[in-house]
Amino acid sequence: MPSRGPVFLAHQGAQAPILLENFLLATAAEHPDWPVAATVFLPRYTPATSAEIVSNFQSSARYVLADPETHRMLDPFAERGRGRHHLGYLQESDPRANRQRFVDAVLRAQIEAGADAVISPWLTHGTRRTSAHLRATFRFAELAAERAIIGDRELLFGVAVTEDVVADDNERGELIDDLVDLPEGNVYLRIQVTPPTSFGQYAVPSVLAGMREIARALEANGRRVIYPQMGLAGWLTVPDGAFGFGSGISASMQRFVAPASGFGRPLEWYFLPQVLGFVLRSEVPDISDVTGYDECECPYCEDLTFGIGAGWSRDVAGLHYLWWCSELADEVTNAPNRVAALRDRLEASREFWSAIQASRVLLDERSEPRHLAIWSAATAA
Amino acid sequence: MVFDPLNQPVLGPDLIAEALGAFDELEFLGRGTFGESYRAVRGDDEYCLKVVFYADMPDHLWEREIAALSRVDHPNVVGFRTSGRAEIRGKTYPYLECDYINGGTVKNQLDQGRTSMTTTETRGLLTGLLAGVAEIHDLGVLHRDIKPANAALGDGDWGQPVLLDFGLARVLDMSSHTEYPARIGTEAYMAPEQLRNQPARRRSDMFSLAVVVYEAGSGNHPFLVPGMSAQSLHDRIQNEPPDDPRELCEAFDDQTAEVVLRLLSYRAYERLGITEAFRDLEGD
Repeated sequence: MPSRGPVFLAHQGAQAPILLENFLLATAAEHPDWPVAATVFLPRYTPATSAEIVSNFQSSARYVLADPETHRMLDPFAERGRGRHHLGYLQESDPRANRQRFVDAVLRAQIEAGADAVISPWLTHGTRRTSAHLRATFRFAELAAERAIIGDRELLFGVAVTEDVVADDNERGELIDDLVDLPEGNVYLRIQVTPPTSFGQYAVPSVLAGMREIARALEANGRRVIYPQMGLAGWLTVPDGAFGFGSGISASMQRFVAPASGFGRPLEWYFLPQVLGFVLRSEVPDISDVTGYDECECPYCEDLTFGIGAGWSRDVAGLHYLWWCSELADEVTNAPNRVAALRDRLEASREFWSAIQASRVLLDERSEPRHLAIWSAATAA
Repeated sequence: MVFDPLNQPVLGPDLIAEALGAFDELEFLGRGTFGESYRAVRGDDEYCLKVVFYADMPDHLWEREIAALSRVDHPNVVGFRTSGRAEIRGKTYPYLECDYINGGTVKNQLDQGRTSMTTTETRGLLTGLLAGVAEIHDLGVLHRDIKPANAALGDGDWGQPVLLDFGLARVLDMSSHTEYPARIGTEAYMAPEQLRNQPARRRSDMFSLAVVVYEAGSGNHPFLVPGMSAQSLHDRIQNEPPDDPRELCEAFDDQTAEVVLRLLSYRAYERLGITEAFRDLEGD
């Protein structure tokens, strides 16, 4: 269950569910100790499909969450996902006014999907000047905590805020004050971020510092936080007490070069574990000549062709990335000193980046691991 | 005794006796945030009578507090007897009858210059107040106005503090209809979030009780300097941690001092919760 964390939470994204299912099966078979859980985003599927995916994932994931993505309630109905015609809560006109019904419907949707734990609904705080969404979110949480419908399942308090809230000392402080006043339970905190340009890692210093403070403060108050959809930026907070971070095979893998005219061609990104970031696959052969390069031993890289030409599978490259998220989660989670393990990994990455530079291998500007210096600074304190 | 013009009865015993019937004794105790208090005696019965300065107050404004008060049965929270309404000068004033705590308040002690406490007394005061706050929080009510005048001492014993007037600040906070101008809550004892005009929370009460214990034990307020504005007080709490009370006096053992200092943190989430405070006091 989530409280046992920390875990890497693999998100079922736009790709075929069988990919993630196979990934979970293979990972569980080869590395049964790795802390890997999974998330299915309910609005993206019909209830029957969600239930099937959850069930398939459960055979190999530590646990499976069914994220209700209730921030979509602020979107027009047409943009609330494929499940909008089937899931009652997505049809709610005013979740705040009809909160009891809304909360019940959100919880029921997760339970019917077969989720191992349930998440209370949220509205994103920070998109408006008032704290009305935050107040509503906490009211949802309190109502959820009172509902007998959840039975023995663990309840996570869902909260969503913009990155500005996390970065701002006062707003973050007030958020934590509210979080520690919730009924007993852990927190599933979505942070709405401005996506990094290209396929770079998320590296806003003030937000990273805020995420760490939230993790530390909640742990000091007997709670834990999980950061879904934050990628390895969430991994940085595991030594501070976060009990998980999430990532999927991002749609950004399909990002196109900004075209001067007409259509660009897809960029083919590869997660280079030694810099904890993404490089173009065409750059990998040059990087592999750098002293200290370690060939990836994941089960997916043998199916990837580097350099120029030949085919490239975004899905396989994405599974390689998920494999490394799992490996890194395990590395830090099971280290006797989590802080040292994380810093050692960052330090090694910086050293390898220095070696790349010393070898005069020129990387595309978008491939340069600028996040490393920021991550190192953010985790130094 | 120094004459304090702000601590004189507004309604007075004559009007109250006229409205509620004769008393054997009706001794004015003091005027607080929400009204005035008397020690009332009828026959063998001695109790505290509190008349609220909110004429014609609708019942719904304090139903929750009255319900909570009536459920309290704890040595560190004043016992509630009944409530009613008194017709005075053509208006209806709500009143409460509570147990009378014979021993004065922490404020009385401070006013009398009593500052030298033993470590046992300071720890007893902190433990008792924590236990009282835990009780009212369990009832789903915040005190919102913990201060020396709202902490009575059973038989004058520091180890038997009794919280008075819990939850009543909220009643008045909900409306600006108080007949007599009174700031809701007392700035010198308010948590910083209250000074920022944000809603009080459970750990706001924890901050306030720590100020009371710090001041009672050391004889010094942890932050307040005479003449300080609410904004300056807030800024000082944010930027200047209080002096360690162990450096000021000998009334604090290590655990008591450390718990009090943690409870005086600027951020509510950095303060200890009640369970953690008791745990740390026991040195586990």
